[in-house]
Amino acid sequence: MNEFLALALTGAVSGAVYSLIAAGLVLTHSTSGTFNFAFGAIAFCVAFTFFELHSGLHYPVWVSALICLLGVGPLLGLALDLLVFRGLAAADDTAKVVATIGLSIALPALAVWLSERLNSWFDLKLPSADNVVFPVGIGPSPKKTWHLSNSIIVDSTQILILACAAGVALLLWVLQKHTALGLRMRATVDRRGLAEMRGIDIGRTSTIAWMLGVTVAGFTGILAAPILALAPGSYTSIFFVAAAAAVIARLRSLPIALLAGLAIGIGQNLAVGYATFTQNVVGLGTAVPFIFLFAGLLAMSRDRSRIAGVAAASPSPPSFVDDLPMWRRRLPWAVAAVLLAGYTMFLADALWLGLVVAGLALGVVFLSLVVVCGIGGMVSLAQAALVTVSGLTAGLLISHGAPFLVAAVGGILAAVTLGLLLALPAMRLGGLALALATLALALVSDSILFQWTRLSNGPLGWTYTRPKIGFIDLADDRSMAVALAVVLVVVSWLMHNLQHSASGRAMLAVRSSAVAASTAGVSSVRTKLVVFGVSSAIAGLGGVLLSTVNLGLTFQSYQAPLGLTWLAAVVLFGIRRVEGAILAGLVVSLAPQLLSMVTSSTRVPDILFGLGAVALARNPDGAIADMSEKLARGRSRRRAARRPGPVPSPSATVVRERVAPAGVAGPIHDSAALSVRSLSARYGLVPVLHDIDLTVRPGSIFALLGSNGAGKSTLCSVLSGLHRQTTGTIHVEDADVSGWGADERSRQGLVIAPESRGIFPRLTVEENVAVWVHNGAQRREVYDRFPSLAARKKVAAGSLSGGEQQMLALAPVVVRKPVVLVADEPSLGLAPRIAGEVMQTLISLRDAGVGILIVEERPRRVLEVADEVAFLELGRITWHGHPSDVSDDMLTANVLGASISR
Amino acid sequence: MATRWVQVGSALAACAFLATACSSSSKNSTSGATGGNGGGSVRGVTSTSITIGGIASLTNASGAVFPGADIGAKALFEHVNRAGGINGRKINYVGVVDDGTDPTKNMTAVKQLVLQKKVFAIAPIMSIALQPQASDYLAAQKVPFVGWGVQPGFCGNDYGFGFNGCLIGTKFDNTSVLGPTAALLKPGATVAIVEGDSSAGKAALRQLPAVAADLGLKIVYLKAEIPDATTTTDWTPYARKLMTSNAGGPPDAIHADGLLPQAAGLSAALKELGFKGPIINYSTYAPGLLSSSPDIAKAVDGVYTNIGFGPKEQGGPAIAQMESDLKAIGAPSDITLGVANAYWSADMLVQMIKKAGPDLTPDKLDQAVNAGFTYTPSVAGAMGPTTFPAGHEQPSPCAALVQAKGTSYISAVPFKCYKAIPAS
Repeated sequence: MNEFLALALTGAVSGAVYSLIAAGLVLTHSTSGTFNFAFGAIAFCVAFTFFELHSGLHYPVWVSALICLLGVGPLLGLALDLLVFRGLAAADDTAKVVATIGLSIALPALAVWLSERLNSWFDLKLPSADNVVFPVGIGPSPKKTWHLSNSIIVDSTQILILACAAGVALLLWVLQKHTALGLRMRATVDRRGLAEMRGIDIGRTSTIAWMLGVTVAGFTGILAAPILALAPGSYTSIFFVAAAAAVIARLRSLPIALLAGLAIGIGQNLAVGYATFTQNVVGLGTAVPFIFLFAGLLAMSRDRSRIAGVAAASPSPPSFVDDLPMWRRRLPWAVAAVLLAGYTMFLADALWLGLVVAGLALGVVFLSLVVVCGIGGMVSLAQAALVTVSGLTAGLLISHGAPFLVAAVGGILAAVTLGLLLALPAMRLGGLALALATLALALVSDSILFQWTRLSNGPLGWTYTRPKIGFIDLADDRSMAVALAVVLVVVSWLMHNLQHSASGRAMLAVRSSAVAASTAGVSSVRTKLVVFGVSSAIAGLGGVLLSTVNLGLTFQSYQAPLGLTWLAAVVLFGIRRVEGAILAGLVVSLAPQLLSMVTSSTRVPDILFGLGAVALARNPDGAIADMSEKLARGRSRRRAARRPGPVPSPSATVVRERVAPAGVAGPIHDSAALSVRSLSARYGLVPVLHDIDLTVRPGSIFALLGSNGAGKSTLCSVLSGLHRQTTGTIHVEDADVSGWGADERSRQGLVIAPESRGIFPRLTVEENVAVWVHNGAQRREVYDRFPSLAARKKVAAGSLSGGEQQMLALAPVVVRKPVVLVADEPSLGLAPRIAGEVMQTLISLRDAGVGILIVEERPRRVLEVADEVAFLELGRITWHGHPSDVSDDMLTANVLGASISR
Repeated sequence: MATRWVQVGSALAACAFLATACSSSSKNSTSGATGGNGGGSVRGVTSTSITIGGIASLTNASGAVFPGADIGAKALFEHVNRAGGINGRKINYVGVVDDGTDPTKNMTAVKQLVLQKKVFAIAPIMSIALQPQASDYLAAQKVPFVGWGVQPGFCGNDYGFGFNGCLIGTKFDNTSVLGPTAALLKPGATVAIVEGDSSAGKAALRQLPAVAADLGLKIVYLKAEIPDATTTTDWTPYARKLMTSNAGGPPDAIHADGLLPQAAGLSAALKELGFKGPIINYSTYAPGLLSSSPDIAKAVDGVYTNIGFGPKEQGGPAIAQMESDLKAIGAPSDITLGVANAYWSADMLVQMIKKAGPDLTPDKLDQAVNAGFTYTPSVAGAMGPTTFPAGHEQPSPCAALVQAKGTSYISAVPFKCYKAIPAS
């Protein structure tokens, strides 16, 4: 019993560190929507700064700690938010995962590089982080030790860590659940656009979230330093372990994260003490936390409310080359390929030739990432494990005398087997959870499967001889280059065919929406299996080819963390493109050697990965898409400049007599709640709204009718401020809000009730109300007027019925009245009785003096209450007048999308 | 969409066409080692100079691995150059390429030295990332390489020379791993040994029972169970098991292998549980370590480190010469593992080149050294002799024990050579 207690107690200390990290992960995920893979790296950077301040510059502990926690942490958070995370807030999971991975590589390198530079610039004597183990933390050093009994010993560091972990987790919990800031953060993550429309400055909220998140990471780093080595690797490892606790907490619940962290720490110790069978399998003890992580994710996948949403569902990015003729699109790549071929065949010396060949082989591996991530929309971090298992299996077969081709097929089959094991969690998990599951499996493979000497042949690994195919001897690097080029073409061609086959369409369908796909009879399970199977087969082929190029491999050649770097590299160039993968392969192979000609610092290539993350924030579709978009914009500008005729000027104030009855488009009316003048807007290169003029008076209802595709939702979006107009002005009362953000507009009194229910589904009813109504007395008024909501205060808004949701969306506005309310199809999908209630609410708002703009497709009910009506057709207002002047013919024409005025 | 695939295809087809057109013509220029003695031009050798380079795992993603491996060899080569070089040739040392402990970068570094820098030989190779493919390549190109024999490339490879032989072979047992420990203990003393939880850790266990028997020690606990990655921060459960490993009580001595944080953490935990006997590891002898924090000094106070070279603390002529050679090139005088191994690797290569004679070629060196050659360090006391070709298969086991005392180290068991015994 004593022994058990002792194991549990010291386990709780490691557990407390995991708890703190897990709490930090939950905090940043629930306040910024990003799972921070760079948490460990940030913790290291701040701990390293603390070490330099204290042990290098000899500042007192408390001064160093204050500088780190009030200066370095928040400033680093601010910088990361501005440079990276703000741009990624609306990106899909892949881009977010990769950006934080990029930072996890770059930040420690940057910190170490900076300290080296500072030493040489200012002739300082800052110590390096090498061989620094158990550095000074914020507690007593050396630590004080107390013997509670013969075998139970506690020390001051342990007590401090336990106390701080509990304290910080409590503070974070209070912040997240019981402060206005926490509410704003959670609302922003839940529905970003709506949060903005409800007056939340999401930029500022994101900045605060990251400043806080980075500071918590830094605090963890400093606190844990006395039980760690001061090395990025140590911090990254404990981050992986802590990720399990964060996952068990579904990345949402701080108390569960805290408990799960403690449980993992204690479980690890008890496994050492009691589960002695773990010693019989090499690596099992090491892998315990990763097995926790994997099991946690699998258990989670049985839960209906999955963590982290659906698979990385995102629309295809726009094509920026559609305006170009075929030859013109091909030209840059053809030129690049011919230049590369020419260089490879005639100019490259043996060293560079070898690097190009290795880069091409890596390109094959990277094609597997295009399949799984680019086409399948799933993040896999296990590619290195697939390459290793295939290389080792083929090597094993070759050593038993198998012909090369047979061995290659064996290797590919091994990779497919492991890949299908990976697909297991993919069945139900979303992008981020899947990324973690694949990472866990890769780490487990490294510490258990590849330690199995029968497969790996120990440190010797397996040696490959390059085969002869017919009269072509692949021992020559140029022949090898050609062979790899052929393989790349064939694999690309197969991928192309697959994409355009029934399976490919199924993949696209599942990626876009698994639910919709299943209603169309597409099995998402089968499709995901196919994606992983194909991707693993390509990775396996890549593994055999890489091993052939490099003349062999060992179990250490391609370790799990390399898979992260690989994914980052491909995403940086464009995960949806074959060219992106091949280019990434060449760059990964050639860049270190190229950089070594410029700098001797091994830190610089790592730092460049950070710049990659910054670039990704600018365009989440990668460098190739970014460049092609820039070129397209340039072409479009040049074309516009060449084209004769009027160019719309930003301050166009031309009044169209045709559509403007007197009083509507005149000078801005004193009593206008909302005045829109000459408003135009476009999506990308496509114009959607043309010269819209309308005025909504206080205490009146203005109905804007239009069929599908008329531009109604775009208008709402432009009015809200989420989409920027190209020309024209918007006034709320006297204030020109044309250039304002959505949050500022809503604070000015322009409130939008968006089409699909203006609620935050993950927040409770109470919290939904509090987002808009900040005053306690007013909140009570809401519940007095809507007793059905009062009864369900603690219920998540997402589980209310459609009618209740619409009432919840309007209720706060009834109490804290805006100047003008824009309601986008307020009765869509509601039962007639509920729709009537909604309309009554709008009428009562009107009677209270609010200007109301109802944007509707179905006019009947609206016409009964409207004071003015206008028709919107193909982005123009074609008729405007009194409801009584609207004829049945006009309504029919409008519904059918036909023209009314001509 | 379709166009993209077509364009990639057409471009690569063009590439393929070009390749077949010229691959036959270019073959002659790339194949075959240029290190042969035909034609009077020998890679890296002129009448006045010999070009040599080095490769080391100086850093990894976490920080330094073998700091000093880049200056040790340079210090010795400069010493040789000051004394007139070898057979009238000065050594042109192109420096050490850091492989970042990455197998791919290591392979590139190897090729860079051979193909671009055109080195005659490589010293040191002080790397964890040297894969068999890289050492096979060096042998095929006839590039002699000298270094620390902890990688397979130093075993059974005619061009791979470990300065203390092949350390990971299976045909011989290396008694230096426990030799100095035996000097601290009475005959028949009990020892518990833990290694890393990996296939390498498991492989390291193989020879220990035979070695212990040879030295008259009794092993009571032998497991590869210390988590290899740094996924653990609490070492007390491992320490607890060791404390009861000798029939319920503590053993006389404990060998705690593993990297620095593991070894230090385990040592601290053992001492807190009241272990009084010697604790030995391979990793806590590192300059600057003890002064980096009071906690680490306390954690390893009294702990011994087994090292394969003569430490600075023991003094003597070899140490004095190394220190003065380091000073001569303006380097810090810390004698780390990296410095010592690189220094003695270079020393051995110089003697091998001398042995090959004035008409220097890779083949001459191969013939001269592999026909029978014993390396005797130019100054005695900090490195042992090694004989080839035996050294391609067996270790030349020498070791010393240093002990941490407060913020400095003392020499506990002086540098001494032990024997390699044939494995049973």
